[in-house]
Amino acid sequence: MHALARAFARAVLRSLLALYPRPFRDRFGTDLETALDDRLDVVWRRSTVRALACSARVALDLASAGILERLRPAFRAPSATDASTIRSRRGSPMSTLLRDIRFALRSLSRRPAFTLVALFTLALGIGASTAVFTVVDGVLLQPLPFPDSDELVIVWAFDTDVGRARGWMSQPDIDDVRRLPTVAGVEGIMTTGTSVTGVERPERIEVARSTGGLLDLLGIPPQLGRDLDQADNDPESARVVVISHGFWQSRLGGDPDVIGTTLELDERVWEIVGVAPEGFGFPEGVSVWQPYRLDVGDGCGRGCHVYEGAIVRLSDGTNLALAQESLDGLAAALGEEYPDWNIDKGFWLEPLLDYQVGDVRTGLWVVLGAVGLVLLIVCANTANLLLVRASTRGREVAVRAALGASGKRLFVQVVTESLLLAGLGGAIGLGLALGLLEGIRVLAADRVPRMAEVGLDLNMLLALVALTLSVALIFGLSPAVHLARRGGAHNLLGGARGGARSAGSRIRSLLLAGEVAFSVVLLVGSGLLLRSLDELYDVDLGFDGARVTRFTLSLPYARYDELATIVPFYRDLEQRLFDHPAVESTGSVYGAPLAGGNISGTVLVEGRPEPAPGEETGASMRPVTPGYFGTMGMTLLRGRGIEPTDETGTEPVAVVNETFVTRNFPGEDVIGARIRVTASFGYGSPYWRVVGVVADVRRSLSGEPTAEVYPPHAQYGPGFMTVHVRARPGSGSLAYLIRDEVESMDPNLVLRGVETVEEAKHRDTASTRLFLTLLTIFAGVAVVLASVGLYGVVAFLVAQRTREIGIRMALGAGRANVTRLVLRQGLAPTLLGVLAGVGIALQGGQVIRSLLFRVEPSDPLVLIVVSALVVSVATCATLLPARRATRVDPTQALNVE
Amino acid sequence: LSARAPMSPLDFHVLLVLTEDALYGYAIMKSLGEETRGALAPEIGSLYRVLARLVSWGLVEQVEGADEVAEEAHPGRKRKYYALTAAGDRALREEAARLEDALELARSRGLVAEGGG
Repeated sequence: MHALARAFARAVLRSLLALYPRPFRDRFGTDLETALDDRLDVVWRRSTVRALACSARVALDLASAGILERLRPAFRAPSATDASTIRSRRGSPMSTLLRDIRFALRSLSRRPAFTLVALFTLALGIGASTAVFTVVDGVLLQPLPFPDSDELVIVWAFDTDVGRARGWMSQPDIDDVRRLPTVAGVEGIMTTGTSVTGVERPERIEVARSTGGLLDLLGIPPQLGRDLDQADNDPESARVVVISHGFWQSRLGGDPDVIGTTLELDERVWEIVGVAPEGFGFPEGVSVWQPYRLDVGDGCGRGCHVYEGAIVRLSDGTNLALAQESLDGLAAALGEEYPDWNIDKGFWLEPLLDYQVGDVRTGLWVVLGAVGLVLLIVCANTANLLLVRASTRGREVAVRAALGASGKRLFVQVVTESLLLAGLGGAIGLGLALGLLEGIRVLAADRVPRMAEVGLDLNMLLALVALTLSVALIFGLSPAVHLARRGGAHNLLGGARGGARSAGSRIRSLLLAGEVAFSVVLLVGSGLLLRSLDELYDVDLGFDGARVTRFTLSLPYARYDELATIVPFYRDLEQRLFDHPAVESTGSVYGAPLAGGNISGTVLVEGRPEPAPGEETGASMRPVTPGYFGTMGMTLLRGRGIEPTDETGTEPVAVVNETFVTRNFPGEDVIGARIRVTASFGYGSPYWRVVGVVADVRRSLSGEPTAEVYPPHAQYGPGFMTVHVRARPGSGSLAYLIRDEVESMDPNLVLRGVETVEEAKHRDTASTRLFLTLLTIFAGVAVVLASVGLYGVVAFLVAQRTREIGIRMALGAGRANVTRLVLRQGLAPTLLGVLAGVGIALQGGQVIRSLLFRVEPSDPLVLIVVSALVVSVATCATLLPARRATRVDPTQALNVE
Repeated sequence: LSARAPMSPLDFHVLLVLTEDALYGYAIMKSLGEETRGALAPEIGSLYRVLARLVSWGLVEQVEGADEVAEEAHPGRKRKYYALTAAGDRALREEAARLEDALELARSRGLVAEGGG
């Protein structure tokens, strides 16, 4: 790929040398070639895409320098007489250029159909590929906007017997990582929602809680004041925060004396010590950075995994492998020292950029590939159009050659025409690219990270113009060379009688087959994604979310710090909602399906020895209120559900799910067993008696069910719950009702994530739908372009063969005969293309495997439907000119010319 | 030649690059970038226009160089080297003197910190 791209770039650059005037080339040409090779040697040490972009810049410069050099009176030392003789003989180069442009414009406007189709095709190809290139460049290729961002990684904890996952870390874990020589700095971080309170309208904002200053770690100086530091993380120290530029501007009116003022968050007062600079948003969407202020001594030690991950800046001279090695060493040492907490626990690091864009990387590359194929189709189409045009122009060229135009002049004129076409196409393409970029921005909002950093920049413009130039030159040059070489003598006499068997016809057929093949590949891709989406929507989640609206509440710890305050709050809230006539039932859960939040631990069974290291099984905790199972329509398989009588003081009980039973009690009766899970919210985690078994539910459409334990909320907490409300059939939206009730209970609370379960399901398919939409758009464009190309070429062939068809019909050939003759012309390359396309799709299907769900890349249904679709579209595109052929009047056809 | 002065900054810097040694095309491009800290960094195509112009004015000449490096990188190919001519050297000195005068004038009007900088 790299070598091929390099050879391509070299060929394009070489061909651009033709733009310099001949005397210049005679003197400097070979040396310039060597210098270009020197330049390419350096450029192509980088990644393919970067190198291509850089080569485009070289190409642009070369083309403009060549043209400018041509416009200079003469590059030899000009004596006055010399210059004037040149001028009088040839006209000034400037006027020649203007004449060429005028001539090209006239010639293009004489054939509006050709010009419009060519412009449309070029604009589409250039516009679409520029837009997608810009997105890919901005999201995947540009380094993160921090100094030395390649030193930044995230460290995650994981269970070595389960495999690498993005597991959470404890404060002592992070302190140990900090001591490694390979680590220059580290801060643990977790994001959460917090309410801005003490104001008229409380507002929910995203905050990042960390062990210290993230700005300092990332190398961004604060705009005002200072960053947090590790001393602020001491629970005894003053409460201080750093606020984002946006928060400062919108909430605090950009007050220049903001440092030292206070802010009430979750009913506690924090002093503002710093303001982040404009544009700084890490993690994305965070308005306030605050220290976690964990009390490690008091309960939240090694087993208290509260940090989502640790942002690490590696020391100078360290690489990822060395850093990973030191983390492995640390994990092993901790496992020996603290077997209770750190046995079988590993750490792994992931480059920060990978973490931010990892989820969309494959998808974006696939879309870039798709748009690349569309561009290839555009090139093939343009080449075909220009080839067709060149052969119809044979006569005109011959006349002009006979009247004294030199081969060079004819050549320059054809090149001018191609450049003009490409330039206009590029200009329209620029508009299209801007529109598309906006469209992608809307489609991709919230689904693709870093979209805020993507925007029209110089690189994109340069890439656009360079792309235009190379498309024009590659395809403008071949007909131009063809024409200039022939000079055209025989055409003057021969007319267009050559018929279809000319040398160009094989190239045309191959180009057509290629277009068809690429269209097939794109259609197969979008077909596979469509089937995946279908499968995703077909997944039985194990619950019935119809008419269920839900929202999440996080009770501030300051006022709700024990079960005695938390439990009655949720009980009252559910009762108030239930009393409303539009409500059928209510129930709450921590860690709702299709949403965030999860707490899990190791399963212990009373009466069994503790599992040996490596043999533990895990389970997730899902504390629920009594109405939850009923509200979500979950199936109770055995025993009973959670009842209102399962109170804080009564015997601890729990319901488990099917997967829990198969993992921990295969072939045994689980009802009555006493189990414990080593995870809690700080309100204790006793042995629970299992009283019932419910059917599995899935947490996401593409995930598998996990083992789950449902204790009563009244016995377990926490203050952070997702309340589900099922409406009676026929009642409208519950959102207002919910808001009113919550506000009447506690006006300082902020509702989060008010949505229906159906909406949550829709959101879960968002990235599949995004890539499906983009791929389908480009597949559609590809089919349209390939059909236009097919139609154009077949129509041209019919026109060329009018005479031949006339003779055939005069000799007795029927209409069916003629139709078959023409159809064969169009369908032969189509079939070849379909076969090739299916072959490529089968080979290349692995690329998008990670985007598919329960669909194989070789899905026969998709392959058959796509092939049939393409063949029928191609037949239609061929039938139109075929019908025209059958209406040829033999006598007229023979009298042509 | 003095009639042509002031010369363009790019011409001036290209000549300046060539004062020490004769250089080949890509090396000139690289040195230009380094000596002007990226302020003047023409791509290859534009650079050759400048070279052609300077050659046509007789300020720079093409010379053959015994070049092992080129042989290694692109076998069978000889790089052309570009060297300052006597006229080029003179033009460069004249231009430098002109710039010196201009700088002195700017300094006397308080536009430049005393002693350069």
